Amino acid sequence: MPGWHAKTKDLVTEGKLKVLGIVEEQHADRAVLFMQWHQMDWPVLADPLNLLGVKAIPYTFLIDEHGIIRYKNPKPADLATFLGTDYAKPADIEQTPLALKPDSAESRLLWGNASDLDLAIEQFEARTSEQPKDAEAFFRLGVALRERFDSPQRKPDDFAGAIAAWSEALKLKPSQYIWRRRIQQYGPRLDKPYSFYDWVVQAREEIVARGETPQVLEAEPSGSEFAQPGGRANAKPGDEPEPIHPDPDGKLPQDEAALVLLEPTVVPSTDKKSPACRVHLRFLPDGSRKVHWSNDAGPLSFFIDDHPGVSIHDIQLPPTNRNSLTSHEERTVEFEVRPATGRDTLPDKLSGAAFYFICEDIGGQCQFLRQDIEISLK
Amino acid sequence: MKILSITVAVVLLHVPSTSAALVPGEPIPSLTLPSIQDGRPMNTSELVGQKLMLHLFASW
Repeated sequence: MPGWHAKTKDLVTEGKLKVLGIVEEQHADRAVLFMQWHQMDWPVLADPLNLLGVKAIPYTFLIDEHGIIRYKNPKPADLATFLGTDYAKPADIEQTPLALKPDSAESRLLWGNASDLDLAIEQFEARTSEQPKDAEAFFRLGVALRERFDSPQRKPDDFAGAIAAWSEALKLKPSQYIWRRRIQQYGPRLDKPYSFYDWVVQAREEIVARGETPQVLEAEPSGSEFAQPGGRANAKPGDEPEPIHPDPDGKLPQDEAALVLLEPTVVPSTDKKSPACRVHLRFLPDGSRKVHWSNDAGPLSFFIDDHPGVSIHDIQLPPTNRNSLTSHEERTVEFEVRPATGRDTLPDKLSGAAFYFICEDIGGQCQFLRQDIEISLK
Repeated sequence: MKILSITVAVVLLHVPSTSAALVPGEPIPSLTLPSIQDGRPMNTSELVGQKLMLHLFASW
């Protein structure tokens, strides 16, 4: 796109060409940052549900004055020919609009509010149970669940539900490259890691250097959205010290009252031959219990019990919240699990423990608690 | 007019689950989507009338 943009900028200014983009991406605001970074100002539309049904990207099309596609992935010489040709109007143009009913799940997701999103999810769920071979319905269900997960209206298991829905979609249509990448964004790194969002770091630096404010992202990329292990869009090297296991003998009190809720999501590899997975552990102070993290006392830490059958990679702990002494935000731990050398399957489960300082809003009493965790890898 | 409205109704009932034909010779698919910049609806065929370059992409 930046290549074509450089070649077509003047043509657009001279009124010889218009440029339009459509992004097939879960988070449209990342495309906004991308356009801002490359200083590209043509209109771009969001197609998060893949209504166009494209199986791969990127594509560039040249479309004539009558709306007929003339070139797919043109070369620069093709553009010159295209611009110099007066295309005859076709005798009849049969264009079937891809129109959506206003109360369809798709319309609700694209145009509605939070309660519309809940309804859209119910509708997609009904569609997938009525038509278990409808791959698109599974994909769109995943998009809707992930969108709700990224919103303040998140419900438990939205992320896991999105991964399950996308996995089913991909099983039904394994050739769908866009759907495959959607799962790989959150799954274990491939042997040749794909760089989804490493560009975000450089983009922000360059935008700030120009004196502008980078587009704020609703959901920060993390984990395997970066090709490099340990990649994070807003961390600096040497940010956090190496954690030391605070309780090897298991003497600390457990969080029996479940003041901190844990939501685990395990994302498998999309490669059937690879048993690796990426584990996402989300910790959230229970809002109904009126508790909060104590940030000056210490960060959340997490340790996995040794298991001879696995090797653990790219453990990412949540950074210490330095913005305030207390906070309620969710904190995420991520890591990748692969079979140990000489093995080709993963065990059914892994165990570990999380440690955190949690305080009561009223009274301010704080405790350092342990939560023993069992993660099912199947 | 009666026939026209029946045709329109038939088109609207079908929730699209199949891909648009994005090949040379076919018309640009007509679909209303939100702008990434301000969320406002725009139909893909609004720019028909002049020569157009369409990019299908993702920032990744």
